[in-house]
Amino acid sequence: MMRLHLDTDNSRTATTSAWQRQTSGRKNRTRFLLGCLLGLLISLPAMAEEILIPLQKLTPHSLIKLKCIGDTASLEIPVSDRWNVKKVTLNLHYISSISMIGDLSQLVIKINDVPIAQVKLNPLMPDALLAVNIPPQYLKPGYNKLGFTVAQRYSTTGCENPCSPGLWTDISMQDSSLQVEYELNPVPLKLSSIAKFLFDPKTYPEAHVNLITEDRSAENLTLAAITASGVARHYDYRKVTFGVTQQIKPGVDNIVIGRTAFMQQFLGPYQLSLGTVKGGYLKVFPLPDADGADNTHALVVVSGENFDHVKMAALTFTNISFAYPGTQELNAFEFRMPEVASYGGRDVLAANKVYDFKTLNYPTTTFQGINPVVKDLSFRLPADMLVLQNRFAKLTLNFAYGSGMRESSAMHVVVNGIAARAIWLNDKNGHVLQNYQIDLPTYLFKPGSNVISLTPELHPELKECDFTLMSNLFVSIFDNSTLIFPDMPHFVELPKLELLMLNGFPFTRWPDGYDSLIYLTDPSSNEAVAAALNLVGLMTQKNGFPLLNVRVGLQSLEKWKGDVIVIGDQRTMPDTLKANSPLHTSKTSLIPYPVVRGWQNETATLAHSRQMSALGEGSGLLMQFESPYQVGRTITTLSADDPADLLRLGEALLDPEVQGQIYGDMVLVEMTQPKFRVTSMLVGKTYATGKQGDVSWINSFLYSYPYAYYALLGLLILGLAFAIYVLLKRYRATRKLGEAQKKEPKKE
Amino acid sequence: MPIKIPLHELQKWLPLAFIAALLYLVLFAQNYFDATSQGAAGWGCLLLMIVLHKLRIFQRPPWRLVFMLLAGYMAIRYFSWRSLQSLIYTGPLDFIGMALLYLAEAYGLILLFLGMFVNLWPLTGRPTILPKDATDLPVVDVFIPTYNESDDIIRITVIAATQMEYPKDRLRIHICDDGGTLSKRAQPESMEAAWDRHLRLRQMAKELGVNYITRETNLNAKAGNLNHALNHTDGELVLALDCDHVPTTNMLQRTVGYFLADPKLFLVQTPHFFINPTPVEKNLVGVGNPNGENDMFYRTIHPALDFWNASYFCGSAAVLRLSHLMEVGGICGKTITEDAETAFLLHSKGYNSIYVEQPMVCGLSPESYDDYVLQRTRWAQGMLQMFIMNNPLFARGLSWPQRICYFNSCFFWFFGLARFFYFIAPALFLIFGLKIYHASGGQVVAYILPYVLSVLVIMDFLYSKARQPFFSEIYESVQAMFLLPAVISVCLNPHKPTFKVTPKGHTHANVSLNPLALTFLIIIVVNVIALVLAGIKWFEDPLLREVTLVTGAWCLYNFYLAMVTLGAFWERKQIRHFHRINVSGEIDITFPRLNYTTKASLTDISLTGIGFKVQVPYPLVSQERVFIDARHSDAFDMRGQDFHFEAKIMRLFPQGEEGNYVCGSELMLNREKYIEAVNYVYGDSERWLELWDKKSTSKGVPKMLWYFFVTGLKGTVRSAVMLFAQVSTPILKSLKGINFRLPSDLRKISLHSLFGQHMEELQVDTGHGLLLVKNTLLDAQANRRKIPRIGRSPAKSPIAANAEMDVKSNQPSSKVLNRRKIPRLVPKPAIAAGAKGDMQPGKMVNRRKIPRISPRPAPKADVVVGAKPGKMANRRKIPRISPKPTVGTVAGEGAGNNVESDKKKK
Repeated sequence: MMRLHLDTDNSRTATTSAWQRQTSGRKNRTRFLLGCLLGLLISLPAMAEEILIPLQKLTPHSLIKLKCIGDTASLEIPVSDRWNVKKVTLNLHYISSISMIGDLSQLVIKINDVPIAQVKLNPLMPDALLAVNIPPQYLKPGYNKLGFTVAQRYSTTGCENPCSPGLWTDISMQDSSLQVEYELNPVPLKLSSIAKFLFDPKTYPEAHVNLITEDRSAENLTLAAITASGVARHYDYRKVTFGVTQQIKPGVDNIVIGRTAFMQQFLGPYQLSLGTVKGGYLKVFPLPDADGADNTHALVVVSGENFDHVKMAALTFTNISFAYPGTQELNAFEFRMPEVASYGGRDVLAANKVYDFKTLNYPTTTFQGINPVVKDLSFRLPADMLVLQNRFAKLTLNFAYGSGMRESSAMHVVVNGIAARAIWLNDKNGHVLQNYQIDLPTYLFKPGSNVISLTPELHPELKECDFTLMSNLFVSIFDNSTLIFPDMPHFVELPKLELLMLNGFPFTRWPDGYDSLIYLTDPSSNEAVAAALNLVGLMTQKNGFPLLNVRVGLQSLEKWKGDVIVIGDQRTMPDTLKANSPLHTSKTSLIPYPVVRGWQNETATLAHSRQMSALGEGSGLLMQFESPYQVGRTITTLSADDPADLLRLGEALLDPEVQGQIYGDMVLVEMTQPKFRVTSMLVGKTYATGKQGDVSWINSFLYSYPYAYYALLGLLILGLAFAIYVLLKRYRATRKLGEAQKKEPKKE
Repeated sequence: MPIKIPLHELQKWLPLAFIAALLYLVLFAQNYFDATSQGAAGWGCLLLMIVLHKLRIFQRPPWRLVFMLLAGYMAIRYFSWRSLQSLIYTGPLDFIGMALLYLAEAYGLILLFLGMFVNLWPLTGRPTILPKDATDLPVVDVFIPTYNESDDIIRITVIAATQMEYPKDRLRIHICDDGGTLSKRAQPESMEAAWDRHLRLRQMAKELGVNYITRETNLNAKAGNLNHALNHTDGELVLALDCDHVPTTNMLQRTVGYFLADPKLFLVQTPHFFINPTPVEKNLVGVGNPNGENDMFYRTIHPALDFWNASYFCGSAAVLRLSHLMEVGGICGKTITEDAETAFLLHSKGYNSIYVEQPMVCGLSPESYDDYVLQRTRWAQGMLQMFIMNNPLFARGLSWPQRICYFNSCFFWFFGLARFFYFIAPALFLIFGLKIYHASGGQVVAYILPYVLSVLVIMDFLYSKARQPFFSEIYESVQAMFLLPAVISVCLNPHKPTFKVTPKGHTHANVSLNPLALTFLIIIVVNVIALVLAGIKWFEDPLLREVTLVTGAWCLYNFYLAMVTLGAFWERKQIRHFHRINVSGEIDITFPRLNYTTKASLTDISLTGIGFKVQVPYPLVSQERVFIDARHSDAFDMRGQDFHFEAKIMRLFPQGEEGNYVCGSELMLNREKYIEAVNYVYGDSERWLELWDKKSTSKGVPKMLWYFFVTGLKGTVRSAVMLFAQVSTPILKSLKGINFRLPSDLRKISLHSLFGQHMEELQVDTGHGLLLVKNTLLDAQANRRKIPRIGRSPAKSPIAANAEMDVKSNQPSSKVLNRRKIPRLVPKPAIAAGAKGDMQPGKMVNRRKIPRISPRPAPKADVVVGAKPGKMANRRKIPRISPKPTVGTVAGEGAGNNVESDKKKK
């Protein structure tokens, strides 16, 4: 393996790494050390931080493949407004084909489409490590496109096959990284910084927010949950963990929630004062600390004269999404939410609604050349959608394609990786087509995330050197193309914890969390509260809608008609729930052990052991089962043996790797390092739930128990046969004897 | 306050509730179950049906109903999928094709359900009701309408009618002749033949002691003929017999009693039993021992109709009550199926009908394809006329089951349209690229295949008693293309069709390909092209492979069906006027030469002779005289009447062990013995029942498929060869100017080279012969028949018929040989014979060839006292001598009266 270093300032290649600096000479050593010490002391408050970002964290792919004679790929580097980037180094590991001609083949690295480095793809050194210094000024706050473009050639004479199998370069995302040195910018004392600065999804690698509440009443915890949901929503997909304390936590952003009286009492020691509080009240301060104030972090006050006002403030906080207001504080007097439809949320398609591609984030796109980049149309379907068989989603395409393409050219429509249809681009004169309708069978779709890929396969004429003339090979798909998805019932068989990880279902059936309750068995436990807020944040981010109507409850669950998340350690968990959980833990526990592991989503062959035991340290349990209080409603429990494990469990659920392994009704998470270990099982009883009215209880029953369906079918056939038989038998007797004989006795 | 629902109301509505629930379940599965579950449901149900089909208990209600409901579930399941999920608009032409195919399928489904409804519980085993006292018996008029049938046919029927067991004073038999009406006798072009016929039949009536009735015109054809007769008779009951329908002796015994029991009864219908096969049956005889084509109607459908009090008049073999009949003006003539229409009107008036499931007439099917198609066209047009003009589904006076039954009977005749679309549908896709059927491979497996197979199973379940698998397909295919224009014509103008008499008793001297086969040759060619294109599409268009596979398989099936159908288009030789009937039983045989009497097993009988197996310890010789003692009781008749015949052994085949012979004898009949022979051969209804049952054994689906395939392939090759020969012969003639003749062994060579030993297996007798005839012999005889002959009358006298022998015999009688020599000696038959004055008295051909000297105006009188049977020359003189302006009624000789059109009488 060869390690390269590219200094972009002087375009020089070096064989030493950039981060290994050498000092000058021995003569200057003492002077240098003293200077360093002095500089350190001077710059201590603004000391640069360094972070290593594996590229795999920025893209879902572990490998970028660059094929053919020319190809490009890119990923986005988030740069938060909080960062003052000092230095960025890209460490790139790639392997290229040895079939290529080194002098003609090269890899170009671009930032925001500006080339910053070029390297020859040397067939003699196919496996290379490349270090590239990226000028910090090229990186703007926001998302910066890091692009890779290759020119790959294998012949200098005659015409090349542009997609010869020997033309490839693989860039490993696992082994490549970005090394960023940055300083934190001071927080602007404007409330608009909530959306664009403080809780910015470009924050890397993760965020931590500390919440302080007036007390542990249900009202205040509910407000904390709404606020946490708002924070999570601001962070969008970026992982955020919550902590809960009674005091300000230094080094992180803090949010304090409470009524005015409490707030004045709380802020007093820090010499901070509120303005005029009328209605809901929001204000942002530099984070006070022992030395005065940490202006790189903020203390956000969410307050009001009473709980309603505080809630109004929390809702306002949750929804601030652009650079307004530019003031440090605000008073909120009214907050109106739009009408919330059930099953809404991030990228969720509504049934029978015409979506144009533009709405679906698919602008007019042109695919050009022999190896065009595939673009996907991504959307989500409700997690509890019952995909009916043999219905069709209607895709109406408006597109144009170039002339002079070979008749074998086509455009494939691929649904979730399955080829659904192909459009033959067979007019050599090119064509513009409007309203090209394609029926996509609904069984190709699934609840949750779905992808429709339009993959052109454009072929030039097979004449000599045609491969070099490929500009005419193009397909443009216009953004006024549309997609309509048919109506489907909301009906799903639970428990399915994977749906919780998909979009927070069933607690996000109403996207604002209406009908959902978070029940804390021990509200005094900071860890339990933090775990609850982490889960709220998770559900918010998964569904893309703040849980503005979620409630935290502390009273008995028996009267609650909706779905419940129960969080607490095993000791404080209510017995009724223990008895109904898949583990049947009451005085003793009935532990199911799979004897023969079934397929995913299939009940395993289980042995049961009744024992008196405990979960143990370092483990947590996530379980789901039908509510013993309400048929068709769900209870999800998050528990561990001690509060610390409970908190760690809550944080573990934020890990995408853990989320990907969760399914069934019982998930055991072992908080081990470096990776969590997850065991998922389906061991308990199943039940069905859905949107009331869409799926009747009969349908629900028959769907859940297909054997009951067949039995009923048989019974109905038998019943009908015998009912007809009874009628016919009487009639037949009259026919056999003759009409006259039938009537004679009556006359007599 | 609780609502009380009467139990009988509940029972009435309960089935509807069940049906609604079942439909709900079907739709539920449609929406919620994936293709795997659907496939499991479909194939599971099919498997269950196949298993239950084998269990006898499921043949009878209530389990029979369970079976039928399973089939109904399969059909509804398929059709809900077809309707809700497979109809996709892809373009205007595609849509038209798709819609037509869908309609054809909908037609099939409706017919399936109608068929199941009608067949819920066929009424069998109805007790026979006999009169309490013979004096109670009503007077019965027997009508035998004729038009152009041969004398022999009429004579046998009349004789058999006179032999019916019924008090003679209460039985009146009438020959209702429409071939000798006044108008026919008045028109120059038909005068001679009409006079001839008129006189012959009058003479026959007189001779046999029955009445002869004719009328002025032929208005309303058969209906008019019968109505005319009805207006001239006054019996309480009427027995209608087609002139080729020979009644058994117990016909009235079995039917009249029902009229005494039910005053509202207007009809007792009995089955039509045919001793000769239809052309289709005849040509598919290699498949085994198939049921007659109409067996399905008379053995399964009619008992089923009877259950719903919807058994209708089939034109013959039925007894009707005159008083009820006259309430609707007699036999109706609005449509050309006057019989069904009459029953329809009488049912509408609340009268009842009964079907007696015992064949008590023996008739003749059409012998040629032309006649066959003519007959079916009339039926189709007539029933569709009724469908359009009477609208059975909403007719007043009928019960709902009756409406459904009549609707089913009429609606069935649209099958030509549906079959046509089935034939062309796959080709529309494969040749023209029309997308008319949208189904994925999974859906084909989940829905289409189980449904198609379940239809085969239910059809076999319902009709296996009377029809072997796949025969319905062939029967329908054979007719479909030719009924298509007729059906469309009726739909456009329901009043247009006119009654055309189906010719009966025709003969064919040669094996030939009916020109109608050309349609199926075209279908075969189209399907072959489509199949080739399917192969190309398979490789060229991988995305459409599933559709290509489905349509290709469909095309292959169409090709196969067309091929088999084509095999049925061969007009086989039919030179026999009196069909041999394969029977069983014992007879006593006396050999006067050997002074030896023994028992023999019957093999076949006909009016001309008896075949039997016998063991004799002495050597037998050809032309040996024997005496035969036979009894009906030997052939399952309870009457035990003895019959004694003198016969001559014409064929003799030693069999196996020494002394075993299979013999073909020729009866020596005089007039009395002839009547006795008619009684013996046709008088026993149990014999027909036995023959019915003999044919009800299925060979099994795979074997049938193979036989059909071979038969079809054979037919196709033969047709192609014949077509080539027919096309090339005139060309060669014109080119070479020579008298080209197709090599006599061309067909034989080509077939033998293709089929080898299968030819031997497939070549069986026509269903009535004594022995299997080897192909070579058939060919030899066929070649002999190719020489044009003259001098053969289309109808032979009984004596002439006696002289007829089985042409398959390898030892023909001298008479036959002599007769056959005649045409060979006469190179130019008709005019040459006449010009040379080579007139042979008594031979029809010579009579016909006599040039008419002076055409005369139509005679105004048609009855002459004292007309005697004699030579034609004498008879012809009669009308010329004594024309009479008005029609009179003159008593004939003996018990019979000759009655002519005389409105004043009534």
